[in-house]
Amino acid sequence: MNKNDRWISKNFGKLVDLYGGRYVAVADERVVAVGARPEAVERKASRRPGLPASVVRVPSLGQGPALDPLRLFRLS
Amino acid sequence: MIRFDYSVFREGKAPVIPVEFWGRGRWHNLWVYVDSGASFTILHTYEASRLGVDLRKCPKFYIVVAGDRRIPVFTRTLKLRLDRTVVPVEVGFCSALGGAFNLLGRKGVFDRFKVCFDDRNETVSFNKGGRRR
Repeated sequence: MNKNDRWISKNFGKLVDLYGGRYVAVADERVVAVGARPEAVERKASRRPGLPASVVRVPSLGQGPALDPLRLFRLS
Repeated sequence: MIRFDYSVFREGKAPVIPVEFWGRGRWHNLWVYVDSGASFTILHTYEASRLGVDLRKCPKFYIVVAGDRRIPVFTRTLKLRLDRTVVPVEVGFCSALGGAFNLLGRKGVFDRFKVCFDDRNETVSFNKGGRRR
């Protein structure tokens, strides 16, 4: 994992609380872009110099229509 | 051996890890919940556009959930990169994931790696060295 991914891993819960259901780009240990569409977030993040940003779709717990997102769903 | 720390999630930690899928001519970083209970990998349909997958051209099947609701799952085989190892993985795209995690299921992954969940040390590891019997 690169530096951005390690930061995401440590702060995943915060990202869910703050940005659930959206895409975020993380660079230099901070969120540099947020949006509903990944292409726009990647484009905005790519304008920054330095290490490429990591883009992640942040889950939003509680919005799943029929599926319990914590139990996820079992296809076996 | 490829090892990932669990991600911090609310009061606990969960095996949510970054992997890469190939699409639109480059690798895309996606975060997935490693789910040994899922037969195969499921990504939200939002990720399809990011990966350049046209769902209208994909085979589909239906899963039945509570209330006898039928939900379409569109399938496509994509290249998955874990660290430096690339494997083809059958992926299902499903809108019914709602806001939940993308899931990394067994097919194409657990049959290529020995996957070990170490809750005591809060890591999940993928070992390529396993010999098929």
